[in-house]
Amino acid sequence: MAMGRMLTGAIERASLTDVAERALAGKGLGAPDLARLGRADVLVVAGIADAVRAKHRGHEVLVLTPQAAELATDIVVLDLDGDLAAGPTGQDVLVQIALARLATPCKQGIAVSCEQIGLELSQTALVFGADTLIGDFVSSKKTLPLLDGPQARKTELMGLIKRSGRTARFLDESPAEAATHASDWTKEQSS
Amino acid sequence: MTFSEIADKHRAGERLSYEDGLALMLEPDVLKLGALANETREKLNGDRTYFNVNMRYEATNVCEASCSFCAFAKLESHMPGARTVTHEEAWRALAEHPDPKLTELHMVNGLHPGLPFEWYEELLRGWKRVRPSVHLKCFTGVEIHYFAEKFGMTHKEVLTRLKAAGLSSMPGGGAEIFHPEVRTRIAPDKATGEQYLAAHRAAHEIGMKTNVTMLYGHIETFEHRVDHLLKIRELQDETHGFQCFIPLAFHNENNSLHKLPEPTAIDDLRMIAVSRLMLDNVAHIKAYWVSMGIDTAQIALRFGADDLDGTIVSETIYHSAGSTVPMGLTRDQLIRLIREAGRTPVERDTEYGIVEELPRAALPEAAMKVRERNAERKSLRVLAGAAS
Repeated sequence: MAMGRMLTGAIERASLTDVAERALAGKGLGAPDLARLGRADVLVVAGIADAVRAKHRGHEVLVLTPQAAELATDIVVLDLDGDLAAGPTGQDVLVQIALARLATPCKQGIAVSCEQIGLELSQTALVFGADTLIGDFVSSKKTLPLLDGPQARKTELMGLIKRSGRTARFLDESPAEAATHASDWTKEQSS
Repeated sequence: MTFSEIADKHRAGERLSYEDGLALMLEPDVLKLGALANETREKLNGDRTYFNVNMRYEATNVCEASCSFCAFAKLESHMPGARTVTHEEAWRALAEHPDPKLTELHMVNGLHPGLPFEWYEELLRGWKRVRPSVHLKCFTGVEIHYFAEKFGMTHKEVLTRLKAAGLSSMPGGGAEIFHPEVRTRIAPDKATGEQYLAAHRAAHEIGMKTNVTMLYGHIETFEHRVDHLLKIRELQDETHGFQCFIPLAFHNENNSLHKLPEPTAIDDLRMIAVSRLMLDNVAHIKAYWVSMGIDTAQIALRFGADDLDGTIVSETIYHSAGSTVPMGLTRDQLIRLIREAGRTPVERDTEYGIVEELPRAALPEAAMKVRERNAERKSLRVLAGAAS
């Protein structure tokens, strides 16, 4: 996927063209490149991570239960616990997600827990490099404050993902089956 | 027009049209939209991000209007939960506010059919007696219009009397969506869009600054949103009295629109960005943290917003409709949010006078500390390089 004119220009102005090229190769960046990105503008980092995600992982968002996520291989589940008093703020959570995408070889997906960072930040994470959402969306009232009933919640979550410009794929099987399918999915996405 | 063409037009200083606004609303790449809005934000306000030490107050939730999105108002004074404070309670709330740095009291109310106009004048006078330095930003354009109709005065007469009693500016609430196709359905029995704007025009004409809002994410379309923004821009061209635009996200609990989904974080960021680009004559765009949540409001500082509102202390309107954010933030919490967004915190008064400009903590230092801490965790070792 080609990066747009605006992002390319911003990357050039930040002297990060070489880093962006290495990132787009999808093999995961090393510490020196990540250190340079850590000092760059947030939207530039997000833009590169999003371009890498789009090129190597496609537009589908995998939705997994926490049980299935524990068994799944080929995804990096980020621990992004945050509270206002001491934890990372929303922006730093997103930057970490973007950097995780850029640091991780693209054969692995980047997963965030909606129960940990909330639905709003999880949705925004989808434009910062994440491709997998973890949450007990169907039965937990906690994650979706809106409609009642499993199907309504599922429909609503699909809408939320769609509004971030992506499409959802739910894995509703048993955790083990879902984990297997998740691995197949990540292979498919990165092939 | 393509996004690139709109961006070029905007950068060249040309005013964006209705069609441009719609195209921006439909732009699929929200990061690109944010980056363009951020350019404009930085051109207008640098990396300064404003906040203030304020308090919210609602003197009455009794209201004649029956807006379908509202979970705050009670239609009759005898209904459970209906409450109208006494003057003494209201004055005490300000007198006993614990923060010596408090600069603003922000009040909006229901449209109470039983209170005389003098009651409001005395409320303001009392506040000025107990804490004269606090700026009174009170009464929406809807309330001003209600007073004008109920007490047989013009908007200007209402505002002149309230100003004499201590009113200094008006908040932006009550704008909802101006377009009658929407307004007649969600707020059929209160001021129309034109009447709301007329009240603000009157305020501007007597030298009073005001804010302006838009309630989005319910039954309106993108066309209605752009139309709303253009009406604000038009009045601002005429009076230059709006200080700040505040997009307000619809919340769906405890109101008759509870079956509608709420706008998502991406919707919020898009709305902030498009507002910044379309309202070329409004100095400030506020990411109201109560409405969009603390995380999204902080990120919005990279999507065109330059103001986070204030400490607030006790907000009830959004919390009645299901907001789960804290009732207030401390000054230190606001400063931290701004610093960790890589911005310079500026404590302001209501009219954007600088109370204190705090030193900027460069993004790498502030964010790196958090990143270092997180990199120690097993699952985030992958990020260790970014923290070095």
